[in-house]
Amino acid sequence: MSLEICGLTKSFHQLKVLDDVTLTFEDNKTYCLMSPSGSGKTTLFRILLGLEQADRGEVTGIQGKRFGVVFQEDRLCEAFSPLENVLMTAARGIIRENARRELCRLLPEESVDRPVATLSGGMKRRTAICRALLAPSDIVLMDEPFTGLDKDMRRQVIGYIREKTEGKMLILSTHDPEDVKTLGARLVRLKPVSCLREIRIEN
Amino acid sequence: MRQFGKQTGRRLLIALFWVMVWQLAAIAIHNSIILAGPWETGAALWRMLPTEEFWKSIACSFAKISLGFGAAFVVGLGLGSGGYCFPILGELVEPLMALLKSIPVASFVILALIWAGSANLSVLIAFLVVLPVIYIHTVAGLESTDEKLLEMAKVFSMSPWKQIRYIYIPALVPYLRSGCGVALGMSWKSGVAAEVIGVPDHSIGEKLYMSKIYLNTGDLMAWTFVIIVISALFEKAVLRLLSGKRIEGGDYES
Repeated sequence: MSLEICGLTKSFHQLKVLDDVTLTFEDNKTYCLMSPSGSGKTTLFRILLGLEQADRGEVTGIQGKRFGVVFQEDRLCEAFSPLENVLMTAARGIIRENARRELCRLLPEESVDRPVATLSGGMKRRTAICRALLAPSDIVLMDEPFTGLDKDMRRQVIGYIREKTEGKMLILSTHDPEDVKTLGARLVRLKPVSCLREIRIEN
Repeated sequence: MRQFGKQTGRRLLIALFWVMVWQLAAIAIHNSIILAGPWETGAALWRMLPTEEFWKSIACSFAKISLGFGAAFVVGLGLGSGGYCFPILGELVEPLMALLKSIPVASFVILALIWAGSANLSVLIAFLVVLPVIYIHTVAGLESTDEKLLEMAKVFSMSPWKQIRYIYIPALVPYLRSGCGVALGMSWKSGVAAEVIGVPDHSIGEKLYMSKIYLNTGDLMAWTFVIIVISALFEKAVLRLLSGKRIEGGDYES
């Protein structure tokens, strides 16, 4: 089953952010949205998540689907630890020890039980990524998930994302063409004025 | 640790300075009805300490004012949460809270004396004074909840219980702490004032009233000191209960 976006249009205060966007995302595939800031990537994600209503157009193939999401901001509960943040949204079968083990793959062990407010920006980002991947989901959406991560950490995180999204649809926005290659993703360029095209990246 | 010792020493010195000013003022006035000095106050307190009536009065006043505060806390929290969830309830309750907030305590006391008699006057007065404060702070706390976290909860289909525990309570607690800080002092001031007017048996207010009747300023000041101490201890205990998990500041680098 694929996710189809047809003629999606959205404006904020007369400013058109998405204009007649038509796209098809297939199951079990990874897509990278790459486009300049302000070209509607976040708005597109918000419409897919049901957090925003489109002015025109329709989206099919998301009814009853569960999403794992990395928002543009971390959106973590800062007073709680990364472990608690992951567990509060994790799939039912994931027990505390499993969640701890998964977090330790992305974070230093001693930071897993510390309040998120005391962690660095990069650690918060990795916690948000882990939360999205351990939540029950059919589609994973990540809005610029690598912000604040250095090159090595980025590579490690991408490896983790690839492993955890196997068999799922992953749509990710980024500004770095290198991420598209490392993820083995299809590139989708969302141009500011509605001009859209999809380019297959050969690995 | 050294810094803590230094600070405590500084505070003690400041307190000592003001006690000396008080003593000097008492010597200068030289009339224990107008102003009892720290020595007379201490002596009055020392005289009262071993008596059963002293502890009984404290226990009765404490129980009644705490009961009024506790009931107002529960009802204020409930009404505030209800008003946040169901705006129609909020609109309905809002004028009542505004009214409670603006009525002078003295009017309350006289009305409550007619309605409830003197025995439980301080319960009712503490309740009526604290209720609007807790209600207003509850509503403000819930309204301060981070919309982005609520969106996150919606997207991840978090259960209502988890939303309350992880999103609403952390947003609410700082407001409740500040509300309780204000309300606790108010509950003691108004509760004891109500007791002074109603003069219920075995109460701090009754003892203050008797001090006035017998022009015993030493006793009056000793009881005032007792009220300040109990009120401060009560405030500390309640705020500690509300403090929950404390977060140390500073970044933690990988």
